Amino acid sequence: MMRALWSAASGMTAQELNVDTIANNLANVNTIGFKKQRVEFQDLMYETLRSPGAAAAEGVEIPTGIQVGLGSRTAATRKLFAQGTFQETGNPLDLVIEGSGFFQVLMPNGSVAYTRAGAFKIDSEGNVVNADGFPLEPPLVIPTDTTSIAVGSDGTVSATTAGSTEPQTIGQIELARFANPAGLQNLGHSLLRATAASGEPTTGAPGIDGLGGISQGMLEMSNVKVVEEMVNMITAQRAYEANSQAIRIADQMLEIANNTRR
Amino acid sequence: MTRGIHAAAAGMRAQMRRQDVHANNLANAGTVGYRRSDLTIGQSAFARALDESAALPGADTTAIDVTPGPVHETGEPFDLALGDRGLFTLQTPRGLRYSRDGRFQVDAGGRLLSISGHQVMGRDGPIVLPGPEFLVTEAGQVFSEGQFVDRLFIADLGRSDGLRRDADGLLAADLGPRMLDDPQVMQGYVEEANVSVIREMTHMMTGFRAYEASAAALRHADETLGTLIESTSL
Repeated sequence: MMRALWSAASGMTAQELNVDTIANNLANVNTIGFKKQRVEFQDLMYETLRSPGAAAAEGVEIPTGIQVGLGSRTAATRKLFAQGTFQETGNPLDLVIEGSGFFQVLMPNGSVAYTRAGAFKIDSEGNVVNADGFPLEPPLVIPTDTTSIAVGSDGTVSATTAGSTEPQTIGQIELARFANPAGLQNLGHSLLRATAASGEPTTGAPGIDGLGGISQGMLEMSNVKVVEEMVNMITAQRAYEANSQAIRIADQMLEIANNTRR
Repeated sequence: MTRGIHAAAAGMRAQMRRQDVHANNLANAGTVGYRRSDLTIGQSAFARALDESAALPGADTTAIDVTPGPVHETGEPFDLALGDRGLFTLQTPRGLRYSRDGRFQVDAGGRLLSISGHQVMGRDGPIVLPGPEFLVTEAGQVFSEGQFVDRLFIADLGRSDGLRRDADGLLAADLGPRMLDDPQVMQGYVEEANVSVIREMTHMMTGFRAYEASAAALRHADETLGTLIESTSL
């Protein structure tokens, strides 16, 4: 009936999604390797009631027309890959990537998933697995009588076994990187999947070719900043409120229109 | 005889349209790079309504307010904001389009894209990055993997009255663009909408009262007419 009603409604829907995303960011403030998301809005289409440049009368041109917008829409939710804060744990299989790149894990369906969460563990057969039990790719097996594990910044893994003093190289961690990491798809469980938008992964040893180096005994926490999210939450709520007021005004105007005839 | 009624109705119509424009501004208070619209109600709507027997839609105009919005830091390398002047230039199937929204991304082939997927123009054509690294100087020079790529085409479209709204929240211009000599590009920042909630609410409140007044005028004109008909009928 009135465009204002629908424009304001679209504004409220947009802010609702905004608050949903902020709430998810805040819920994951202590999730290892979590990358915050943000909602990106755009203005919706415009209805051109009169085009600029149209002739008003002979020889008279309208300099500017009338274009009325129809609200806002959500264009994307984007993952922001800024580095999270590091927390020291001392655990030999807690690894962080200092820079860009992702750890690769093999999922039960045979495809490879990518993650920044470097809290790895050893399963009963000595395989290095992530928190969900998915093995690291390429596979890394720790010998059963290992007394200490060392991971170099270039990703070489060496183990010292019982009765020996010399560490032996037992494997190499490879990282993957993407032309457009924002195009990766969320799978939950801190895992991401490659898509046509992200491009094919380029894999390699850490520390070279634009990939970050690895540090052992630390974890990358989320990159969520609580204060920033709170400020975003407040602005979202106020914008929501303003839009609801616009709906009220539009509604009252329609009421007046209905009451003009008595 | 019914001039008063038509004049009041034209006033109501114009105020309703004004609400539409400000509601859209409010809905986009969270849209990065959004430029607010303003509606100027043409005086001739009323003037003509009083001169002629039928009120024609007035010569109302919407204008795009290009004053800059507040800028805030995000720390994301692919977020760019512009200083007071200039617009990013994008290549679309309909021709060149302009935007103040500098939230860019790259596709798998390294092409720099806007949020709606249009290629971002440099001085020598669309910008393609050789690697994932993206550095932009304040003058708009783009570097990637240690090499100079191109200079961002920051368009100077002069005054705002030649701009019109186009799909995907972009702006179109009748005149060809000129490259701004001294752009100010800020990497890791986004520019908010230039919408002030207080200003929009004030516009909506005054518009509401003007609408109410026009509705009252319409009712009075109707009542006068009614009295006239009753008093002259036998």
